[in-house]
Amino acid sequence: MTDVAERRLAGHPNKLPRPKGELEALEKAWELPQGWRIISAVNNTVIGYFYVGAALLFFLLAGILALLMRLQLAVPSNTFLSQETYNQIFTMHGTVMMFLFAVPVVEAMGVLLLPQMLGARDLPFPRLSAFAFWAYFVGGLIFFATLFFDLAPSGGWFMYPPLTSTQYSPGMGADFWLLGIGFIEISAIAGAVELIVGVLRTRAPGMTLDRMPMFAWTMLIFAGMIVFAFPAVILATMLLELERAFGWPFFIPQKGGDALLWQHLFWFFGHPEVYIIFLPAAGMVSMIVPTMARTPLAGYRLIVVALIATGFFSFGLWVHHIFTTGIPAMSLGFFSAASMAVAIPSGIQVYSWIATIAAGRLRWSTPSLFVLGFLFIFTLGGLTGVMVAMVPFDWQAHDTYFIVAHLHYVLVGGMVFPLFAAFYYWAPAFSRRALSERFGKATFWLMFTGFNVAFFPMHISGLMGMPRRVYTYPEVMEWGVLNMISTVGAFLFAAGVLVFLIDLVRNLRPTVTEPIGNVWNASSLEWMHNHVYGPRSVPLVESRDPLWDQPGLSEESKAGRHYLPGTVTGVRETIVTSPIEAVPQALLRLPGYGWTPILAAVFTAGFFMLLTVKATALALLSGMLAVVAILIWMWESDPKPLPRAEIGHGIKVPTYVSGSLSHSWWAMVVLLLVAGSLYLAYVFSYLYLWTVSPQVWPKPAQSPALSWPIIAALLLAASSGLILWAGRTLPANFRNRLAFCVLIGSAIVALVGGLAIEVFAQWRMGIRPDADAHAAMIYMASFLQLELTLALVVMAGFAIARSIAGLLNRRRRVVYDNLGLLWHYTVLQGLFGLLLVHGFPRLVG
Amino acid sequence: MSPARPRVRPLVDLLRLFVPPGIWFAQFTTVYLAEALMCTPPVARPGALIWTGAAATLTALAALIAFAFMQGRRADRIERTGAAFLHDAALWLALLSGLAVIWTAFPFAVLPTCTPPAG
Amino acid sequence: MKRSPQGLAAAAALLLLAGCGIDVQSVLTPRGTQAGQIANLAWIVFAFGAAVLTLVMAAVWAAIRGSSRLRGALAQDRTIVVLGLIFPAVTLTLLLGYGVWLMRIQLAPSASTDTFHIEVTGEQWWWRVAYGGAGIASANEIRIPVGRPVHFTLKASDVIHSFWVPSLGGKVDMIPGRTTAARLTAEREGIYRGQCAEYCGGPHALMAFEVVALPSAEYDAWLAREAAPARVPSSAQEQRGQSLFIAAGCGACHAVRGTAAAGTIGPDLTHLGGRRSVGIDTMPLTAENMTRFIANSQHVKPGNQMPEFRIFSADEHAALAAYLLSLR
Repeated sequence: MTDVAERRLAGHPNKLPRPKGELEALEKAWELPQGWRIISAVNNTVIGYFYVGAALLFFLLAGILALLMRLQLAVPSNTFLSQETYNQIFTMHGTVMMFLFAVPVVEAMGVLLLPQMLGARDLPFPRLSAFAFWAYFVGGLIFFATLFFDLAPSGGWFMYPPLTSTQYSPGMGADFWLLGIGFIEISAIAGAVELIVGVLRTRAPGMTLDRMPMFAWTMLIFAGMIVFAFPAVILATMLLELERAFGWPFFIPQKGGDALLWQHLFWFFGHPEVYIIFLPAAGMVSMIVPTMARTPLAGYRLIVVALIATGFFSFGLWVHHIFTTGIPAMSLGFFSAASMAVAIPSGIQVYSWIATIAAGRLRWSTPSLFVLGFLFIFTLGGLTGVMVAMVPFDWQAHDTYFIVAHLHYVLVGGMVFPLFAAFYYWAPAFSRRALSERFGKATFWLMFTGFNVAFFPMHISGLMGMPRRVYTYPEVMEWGVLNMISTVGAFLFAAGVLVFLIDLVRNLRPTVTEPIGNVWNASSLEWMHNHVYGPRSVPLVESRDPLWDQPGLSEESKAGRHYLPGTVTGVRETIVTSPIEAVPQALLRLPGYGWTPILAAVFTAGFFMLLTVKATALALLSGMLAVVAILIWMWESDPKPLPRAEIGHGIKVPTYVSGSLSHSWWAMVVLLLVAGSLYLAYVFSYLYLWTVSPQVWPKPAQSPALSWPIIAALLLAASSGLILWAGRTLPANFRNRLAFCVLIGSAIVALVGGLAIEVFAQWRMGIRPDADAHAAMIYMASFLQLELTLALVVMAGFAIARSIAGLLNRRRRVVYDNLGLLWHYTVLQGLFGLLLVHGFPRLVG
Repeated sequence: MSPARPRVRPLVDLLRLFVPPGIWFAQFTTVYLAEALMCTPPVARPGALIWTGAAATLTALAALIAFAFMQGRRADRIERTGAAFLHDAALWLALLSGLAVIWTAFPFAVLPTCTPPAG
Repeated sequence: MKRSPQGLAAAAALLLLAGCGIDVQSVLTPRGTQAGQIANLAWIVFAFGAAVLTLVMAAVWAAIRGSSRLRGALAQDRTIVVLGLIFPAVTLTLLLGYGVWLMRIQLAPSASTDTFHIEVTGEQWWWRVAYGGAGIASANEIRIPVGRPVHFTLKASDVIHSFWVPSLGGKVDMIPGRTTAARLTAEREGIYRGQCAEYCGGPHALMAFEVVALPSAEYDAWLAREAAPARVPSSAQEQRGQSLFIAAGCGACHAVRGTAAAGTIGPDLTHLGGRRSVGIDTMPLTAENMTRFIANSQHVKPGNQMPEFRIFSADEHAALAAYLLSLR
């Protein structure tokens, strides 16, 4: 810690007794809405409960689908499920498990645990988490319900075209997947923004990066990976939906498209996705093992290295899902090499946990059992992964039950087992009663045995030739015995889950006041006395294991001797600290409960779902209502600057910061990274299609004359200039406010004009997006530009309104700064698009 | 523990952790892109592929070694503040990334260029 | 399969697995060169995997129950680096090298000058086959010569399929708009089963086929017969069957070379009588099954593109079946 920081922080804790009414004011600021109105809550504990509950619900639903599949496959030539029903069920099982359970549940654990673990009172954007949750929940329920109307998709969870193109999947099922899942990804991205800002900017003072709990590291890397991986599948989803709805032929070979483009985009997301799912679970294990072994985590630094290496290497593996598609051998070799490389960080983590156990004395408990089960199952899964990383072996094992076995070993072993360990471990921090150890052990043994009995035989049936995604198999192949064993195992596993559910109902009593507490004598901050506002006062952290190394910390915090023992401004607050050394930098005022997030979520879900069933007018109405809700929500943000506030220990910090100190600036930067990744995926797709179908790229004579893009570019650049100029007019007086509005307004016109000119230029040459893949790509650039332009128009209008209302000035400038960030990015993206679309054909023509 | 000019460590110290794996990612992307471009009809220059790959690999390894060296030097100058471990972490990442770079170069050395599977 | 310690170990393991499925579609009972090489690789990686899993579980056990000296050693950072980084780096380098080297072998251009060429196109939900340079058309059952490398050119006419005969070699996807290739060499006579290995909707599960490997001389004779136009119906019943075939419009989808039937939407039937199965590969070619497929194809293979023909009387069915079975 730096000298200044030390001087600032080393002061004695706050004096006692604390002023009268301080605790009451804190509790009042954080009080929850009563009764059914709890659904308007936004704080992380309540949203965390909802989130975990919803994810578990989807786990159960998708698990029932799996049991149905196993019943159908238990005997050869079975007629329990029809072909079409089975095809829908296996598609939904995979889709719901991956998109509605796996990623949301680890995100939910982050929402629930992280703030308290970091010593923060809440996540930095509580309403955003609420919105993300409700969007996911409502959208997910609607999506699952398609099964009951015979409208579920049946193209497999990775939905390969041309099978999922309109010609071969004429119904609405594929559209439900594309629009439904596409929109649920908004939740994941919102979560990622929340987590990056939360982990890097709202830790307790003194919690430097190397004192940060390992779970926080994994959630940080998890969030970073989401930022770069999800956009690829979002783009793919957009492309396929545009193809299905309007005939833009991205994947239709006869018009220059390529089916493999989808596979590249999907798996560029899909492979990091599985590490996105695994890393938080590994983080949970890294919290549980030290507590159970009663010793600090061994190899902390090495584990951080392993996590970052995993995060990066996992982006270089995606082709190992498509080794059999005829891609040239050398390319396959690169991906085989990278797939081996990613095994090493996992090895480092496993041996670090073993080292921790060896350094301590492991106590036998349900969480320990689940961790040991995880070690066995995940290691086995990782090893079959190394096997299929070898290309020739994969040529046999790909798309067989060997892969089904592998993926379940790594996903169930690598995430579900740690998750159950986490439930049993953290229940005492959130519930008035702990879960039952007796039931827990029964759950473990049923799940562990059932899992291995169900999935180990699949390695064999796969090697005996049984492919994936088959609704039945013939008697003559003699796969019946193995399948029957698998079915029995599946039901054993389900029995374990049932025992867990019974235990939950009997014992879990979620609370926001006095949970049963630190029964395991754990060392991290979430085990201090835990209320809806986290700890009574935000502790000064001096160690990686604060509750072990700082005796009396919990009592000191509870007595109000540390930071923020009450509320300075009367509303909910937390402390913003510097990303690496956790030096206090500002006081962050947080919103309380309200209806705008849930309404915005419901109307956004409505927009996407109504579009799917082609009720366009209703969809647009729903979308507009969503925008209205969001505008109201935004209007209530950005509270006005107040005098510097004392947060305790004699330290005063500003109550309003802008520029790179602002947490919302950070959020906008993360969003720009998402937008940039999306655009990069587009550029990749453009160049990729050119290598596949150069014949549909136009000769220069067929492209619009250069004057058109030049004019468009000038308009775009002008709009940026106008925005910059508007920034100079921020001081609040009438003339400047007028200038500000005029400048912003003109910038809007220039921005929209730049886009319109480009579209018009293409259109008047007779180029139509459904003509061929190249034309579709041209219009796609404008489509991506349009999405940002629309957002900017709304944001600019909002900025004008804030300015007129006197709520935007030189000091209170966050709204303008964020507008500027997105604006300049959009202009750069637009300029690059013009260069690509008009320059590239001339370069190669 | 009292340096002359205390500072709040800038974010760049954390971002520096991402340099070594970023170098690997750059080498990986370069060789993959080179293969994709040079083996498709529009470009079709298999010979250049070998040179590109070798150059990318050697550059990446050199960059990693240079980075590790500079990190080592930097570590001496940095005050032992709370997150000093970031320096060590970057060195370990350089090692892992170097391994990945070498492995990525294997197929280069062994496999024929531009041959689709099963001739 | 070569006689080797690996082979013996493989055989022993197979005895254990013998109750787990017949071996005509098994990765672990290779009958072709490529499959054999992959099976060797497979046994080695299985052994590696088993060893590493044992090592990890032993380390876990030692960490919990071992002597304090052993536990002290396991708790060191150095041990984490040796076991978690150095050991995998070394072993995986070897494995990666082996895998890449095997890829090189399997992709090396064939030294042999007598490679035989077959083109297979994946259709929803059957296999269009064309033999040799002349493109002799057939469907669903593939015959290859023993001991000669066969080069398969693979295409897809609608959605993505995948061509996979595990006894002979790895799978290769068939992607619309692209041409891929596989090279397989059967090392002994036999009948092997293959199955579509990329979900293609509908009755994907039933899209299988048999590969019949014949000794060279026999194969050449068969190919010559296959190249010839359809056998002329001899008996009255067969002739009646032929006229029914044409009258019912079957020729719009199916081709019988040498007759008016020239449709290419469905499988070529010129030498249907010489195949082992009809409709799906597990339904042997008999008169009864032929009738079943014509009248009830949606029950046999739900979702397939052939409509059910309920317009024939029992007599007519018998004649049709007799005709089609006569097309040897």
